[in-house]
Amino acid sequence: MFFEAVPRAVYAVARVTAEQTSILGTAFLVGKNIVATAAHVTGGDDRGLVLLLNEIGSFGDYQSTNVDREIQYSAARIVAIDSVRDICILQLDGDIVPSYKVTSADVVVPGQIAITYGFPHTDTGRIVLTQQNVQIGAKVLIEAGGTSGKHLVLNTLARPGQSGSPVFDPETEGVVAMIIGAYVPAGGGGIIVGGVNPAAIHQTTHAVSTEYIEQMLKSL
Amino acid sequence: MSSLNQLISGDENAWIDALPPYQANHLHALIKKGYSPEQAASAWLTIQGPANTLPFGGDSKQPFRSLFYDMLAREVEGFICGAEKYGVDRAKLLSELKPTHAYVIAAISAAVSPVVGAAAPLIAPAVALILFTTARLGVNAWCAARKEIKNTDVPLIGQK
Repeated sequence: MFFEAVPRAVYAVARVTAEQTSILGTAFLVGKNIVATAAHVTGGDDRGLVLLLNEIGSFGDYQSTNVDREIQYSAARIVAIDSVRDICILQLDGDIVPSYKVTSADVVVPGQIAITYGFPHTDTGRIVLTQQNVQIGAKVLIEAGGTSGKHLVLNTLARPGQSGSPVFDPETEGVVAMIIGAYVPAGGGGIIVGGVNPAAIHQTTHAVSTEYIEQMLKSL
Repeated sequence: MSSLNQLISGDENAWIDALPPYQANHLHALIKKGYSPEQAASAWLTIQGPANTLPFGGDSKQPFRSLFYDMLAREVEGFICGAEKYGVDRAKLLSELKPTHAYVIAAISAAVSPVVGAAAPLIAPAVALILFTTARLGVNAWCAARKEIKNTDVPLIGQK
């Protein structure tokens, strides 16, 4: 499933304005014409929000790195958002359905290898759908808004643009989590070096369990 | 045909329970922790996901924190308390025979959403919490209380 279907299941999220197009993160199919991404990727605002359509037919094809190329897109509309869990559900036009199931972080265990697909380095304008094979380092509960939520710790250094990336369990071929950010205690201070927060340069990436996405889909 | 006084009355918790469970559960958790409805609404609009997690995406020019509860509350006040610019939306809502709580929340959220620059699904929980307070006080008393708020020197967006 993964290799052929990925370009039709994982998209870069962007915002188009009169001045510029900003690449914001990653989104992935979770239902018919429905994708999920991190809430902070959209900022809770769907004005000018689009999904960039991948140019490659197969994930094995060569991808362009020309940042000035023209890319087709589909408008996206926010239909559900959970700012506590950092999840946003978007609807788009078309007729696309996922070829995998949305499951839960419950089905994987630490030490296991998982697969993520996303668009690292979008802050530089690079739009390259990229696979990373990552080891699950831990399963953790993280507090937010008075409740705690299930998350995976991925032993990988994620980069800007990877928020919203799906985490697949290769054994069940289901999506078990979604990348939302790096572990940084208390915000990590305000020092930015070369566009990078030094506190985020480590291999502890947080991914929220997709069971919360499933709960949101039931409300649509 | 209903009046806003009739629509926004009764059990205030019904406004939270009218939200999808994934949102209602968070609001109940915040109120259980001792947040006032206003504090819970503000928290919902400003929470940026789980603690100790730095995001890898988004537009730094449009962060969640740009959404201010006060701005939203002013616009909802405008809708409920009779601002002219929401006249058409208000009339449409009141023309419904028996709108549900969910319908009222959705109608108000949709009306103020373009004004505050946020998607309706994001602001709906905050709107529900404002209606929670309005139902508790009654529409007339709530509108009067809002008028008493001293910090009203900023006009409604788009209103002179």
